[in-house]
Amino acid sequence: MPLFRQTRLVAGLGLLLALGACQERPPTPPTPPADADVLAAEALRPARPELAAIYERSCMACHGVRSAAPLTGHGPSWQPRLAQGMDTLLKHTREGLRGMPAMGLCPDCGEQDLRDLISFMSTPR
Amino acid sequence: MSQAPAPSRSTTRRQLLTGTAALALFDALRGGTLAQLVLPGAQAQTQARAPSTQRRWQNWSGLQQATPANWATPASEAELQQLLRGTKGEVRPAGSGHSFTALVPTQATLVSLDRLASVVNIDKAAMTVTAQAGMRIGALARALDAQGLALRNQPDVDVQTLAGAISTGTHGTGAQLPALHDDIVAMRLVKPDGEVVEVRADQDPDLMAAARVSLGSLGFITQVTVRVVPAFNLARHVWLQPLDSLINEAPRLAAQHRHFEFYVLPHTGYAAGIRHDVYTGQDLMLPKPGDEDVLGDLKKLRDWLGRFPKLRRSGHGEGLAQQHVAVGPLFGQQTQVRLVEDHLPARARQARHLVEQGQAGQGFVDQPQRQAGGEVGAHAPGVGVQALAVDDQGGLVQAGVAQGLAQAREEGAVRRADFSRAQR
Repeated sequence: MPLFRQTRLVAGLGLLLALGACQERPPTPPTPPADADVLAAEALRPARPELAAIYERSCMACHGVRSAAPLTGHGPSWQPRLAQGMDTLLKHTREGLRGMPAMGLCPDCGEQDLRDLISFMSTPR
Repeated sequence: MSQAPAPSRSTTRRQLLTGTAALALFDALRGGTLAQLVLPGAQAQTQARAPSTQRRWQNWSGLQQATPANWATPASEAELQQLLRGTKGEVRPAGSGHSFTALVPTQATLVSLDRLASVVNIDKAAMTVTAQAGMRIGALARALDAQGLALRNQPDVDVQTLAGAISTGTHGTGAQLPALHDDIVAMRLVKPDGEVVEVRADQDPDLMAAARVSLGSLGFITQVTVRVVPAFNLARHVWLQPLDSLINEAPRLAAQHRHFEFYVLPHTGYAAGIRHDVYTGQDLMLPKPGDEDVLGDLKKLRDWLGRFPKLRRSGHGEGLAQQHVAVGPLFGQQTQVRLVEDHLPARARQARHLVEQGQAGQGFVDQPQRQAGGEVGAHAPGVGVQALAVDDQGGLVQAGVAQGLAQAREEGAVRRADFSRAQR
């Protein structure tokens, strides 16, 4: 094997770094968010102030912007997730799934907080 | 094994390439060493709480994991002081889990400052912002943008907490731009005994220098004051280019552009170049989801070259043809591929050293990789094809591609501060 190709093989084996937690490949939603959806999501907040504070500091980093995470208020992105049932979503939130970090960057969240946040984010605007 | 004729001019490229591959591993290898530096005198707490209260922490890659006996989330600096005074054994801070090293894992007490996540003060006269250290970079950028301000060099991955980013030397690209920690002018630090120290760069430069990238070893940073700049926009350009020629051009591109980086596209012989420069136009657009676009470009390139088999055998010769063959399985596997980020040439020498010592390579195949997503940002289909036309090694490739797909070139400007994907 030519030396150069060997070197290239070493490079190929080193494919280590996906770069951000939001960036990982999700199930592809049938309809990706349009620019209008992204702009709208930026303004959405939970009604309860304490929940809004948690959402801003934890969830919004990925769910409030265009990323691989399902976008807040974008029904088509959430529909296949909701179809799995709230308990499954809660489990994935607590334990993490693909790009979703365990506890969703909210280590202080209780179960009801997580349920409320999921409900808020998955409700079509 | 045959020995390939290796032109001398490619030696440097080869070394750089090897360095690139090893860099991903470099952080992981380094982790074991770093972990010993953190709170060296602390002893592991063996008394575990009931399992029902235990929750597992892991970093984003899943390679670092821990189930701390106690995972505390103080809501104020005073609560943190109280916690530290009342806790025996090892205490470690956790940010957003974006570090590759074993800084965070502990079986004793883990502390997250996620609840300390507010802007304290924005001083437009001094051009500084004071924020609680658990605030995430993206959230701070959003708050600053509302005031017409921005961080000087915001990393594109922006979910890190301020304390975590500063403490680990988190940085964006930009050869002339310092990392975030360099813009810190003051911070509040809670020492392991609970005492609060206010550190100012102008009054205690030595302590500040030690505290900037302190890996959590000095205590908990609870508040930082950071220099800011007027808000600005960046134009982003993404293109594909043969890896060899891009490596050749990398030093020039890094010097010419505010930000430059590239991603190696494994098994293809190509890399995705990304550059950003300050943009003053008004035609701003949202960044589009980029993960698939460059791969899509590459697929188009494969398909296009497939219609010109003679071309594949010329230009880059056998190498390109074989690389072309390799692209097929690549796209059939739903991204069992990870792309390597690097900021050449800063650490290439160290990484190459690891390779030469035979340390690199271990762990690439036997460590579980939980995240399988390839990651390349792009929003301009066809840009890469245009870039390919500047390849200095394949005249036929240049002419043919320019003729066939030059019209696909597209450039766009993105708004930066309030959208995290803007900068890479």
